[in-house]
Amino acid sequence: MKTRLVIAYGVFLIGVLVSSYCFVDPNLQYLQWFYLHFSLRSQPGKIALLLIILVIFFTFYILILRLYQRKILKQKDGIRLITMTVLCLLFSYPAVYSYDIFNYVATAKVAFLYGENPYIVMPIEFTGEPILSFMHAPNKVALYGPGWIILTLLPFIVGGGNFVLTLFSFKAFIIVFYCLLLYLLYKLSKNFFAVLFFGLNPLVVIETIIGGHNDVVMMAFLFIGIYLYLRKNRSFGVIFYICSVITKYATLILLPVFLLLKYTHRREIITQTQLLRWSMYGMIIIFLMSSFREEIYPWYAIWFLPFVALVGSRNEKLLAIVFTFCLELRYFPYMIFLTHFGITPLLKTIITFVPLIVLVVLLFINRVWGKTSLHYLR
Amino acid sequence: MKQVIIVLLVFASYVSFPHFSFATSSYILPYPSAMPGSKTYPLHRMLEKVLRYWYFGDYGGFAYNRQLSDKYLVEAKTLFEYKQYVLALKALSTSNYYFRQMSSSFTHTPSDKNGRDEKVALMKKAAEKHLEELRRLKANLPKDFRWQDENAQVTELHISRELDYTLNMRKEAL
Repeated sequence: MKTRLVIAYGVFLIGVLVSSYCFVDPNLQYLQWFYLHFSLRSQPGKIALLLIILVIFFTFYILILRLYQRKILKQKDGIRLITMTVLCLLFSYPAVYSYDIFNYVATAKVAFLYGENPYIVMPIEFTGEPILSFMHAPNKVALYGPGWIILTLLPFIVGGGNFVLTLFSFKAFIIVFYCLLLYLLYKLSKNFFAVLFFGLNPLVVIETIIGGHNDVVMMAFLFIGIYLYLRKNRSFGVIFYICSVITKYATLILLPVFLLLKYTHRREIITQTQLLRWSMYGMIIIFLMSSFREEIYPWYAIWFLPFVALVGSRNEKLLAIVFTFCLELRYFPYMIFLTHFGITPLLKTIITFVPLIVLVVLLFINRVWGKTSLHYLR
Repeated sequence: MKQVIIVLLVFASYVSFPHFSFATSSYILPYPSAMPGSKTYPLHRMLEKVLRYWYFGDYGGFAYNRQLSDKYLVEAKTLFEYKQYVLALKALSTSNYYFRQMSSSFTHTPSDKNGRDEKVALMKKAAEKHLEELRRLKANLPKDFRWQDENAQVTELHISRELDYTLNMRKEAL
């Protein structure tokens, strides 16, 4: 069973890796060979492929978690699965679901190649720049914190002016933080299930290892901060927390939690679980508030998922799994209607929240009237 | 309380209804900012100096100089309208300084830098707009003016000469 699962998962990952190149942008001249010989041009075909990948991904994920809980899978098997996922999907084409990684590269180019302030000068101002033909938001100044822009100097240098190399060095750079975050989750929980719950969640895998979103960088810094703070290394804890805030701002909401810790640490009245739980609520609040700014993007779930992995109850974990699946489905209304207007926003909201509300109601009923068929889900 | 409600209603109706304006040029100058004599004016000047470091780089510097050149031209225009000729000429001179900085910022920019041509085109548009405003001003202002301040000191202001100098600077940029 175990060997078959590992082999099947490996085959699936290779399938995802190969099929990711079906989504190469026709304007991306660096990978035009792939586009001309490999790309999938039919929109329904793309939708079907992504949906199938998503469903299989979540099936594997639930299966892996269950087998680990039943002790059929051991910790070393889990490490093997994570390693396989990382090594295989590191080489996948990143812009399958979102195009943010191109923005990271473009911002780094504005700052380090052209020597301009990316908070003032937009990539679109460099007419003739090849990246403009396939990036999706060239008319925006840098959205992320200065910490992130400084950090991108490293993958930008590693890329050595070669776009493909730069793209994959950005992915590798993000994956380093993903691995660091998994390590910290293990150090904080001493429970490998938490690592598997977060690390193999398809949303995390798709948005981080495939898509290269920088949210794990912010979260890795936050968790280094929390880890050091809890290990009484408070000054460095605060420094890493600040690093997290200047990477992507969202963790600023946890400032009251850190301040509370500062004023109460002598009395030791706050436990690690309490701290993590408050942080989880804080990150859920900022996640929901993101709809006021623009919209809830699927990768924002990375802000609270590590906390759910660490301190979430059984029901909260179940809700998180369902919710992450729904969040990934948010891509599909746009893919179907090819517009961000009309029915698309409504469909996105329905897809995201209706299944979650239904599940909450079912869990409530289950709690009040005893066991229902719901226990099969757990 | 009644007055507050009326003010709020007037404000709400003002922001609720669309306002139409017809511009003669696609290049738009900013609204007048803080004027000399106001309490916030020194703060604005200080902030401008600090922001110079934020607007680093060729295009950042270009944006900085262009914005300030526009800002001081508008300031000069407003002051001329209020017959504050001394201050207006001072603002015009500041606008000239930033305009000169803007046009010279391209001397260091590599000619093959992506987007350079668009910036040059933008500078020309700015110069055209400045010319449009300056010509209008020149038509309505006296050639020379004897300015007497509170201390009874008399200053001869050569408004037309200053405007000609400014106009020539903009023409050279076209």
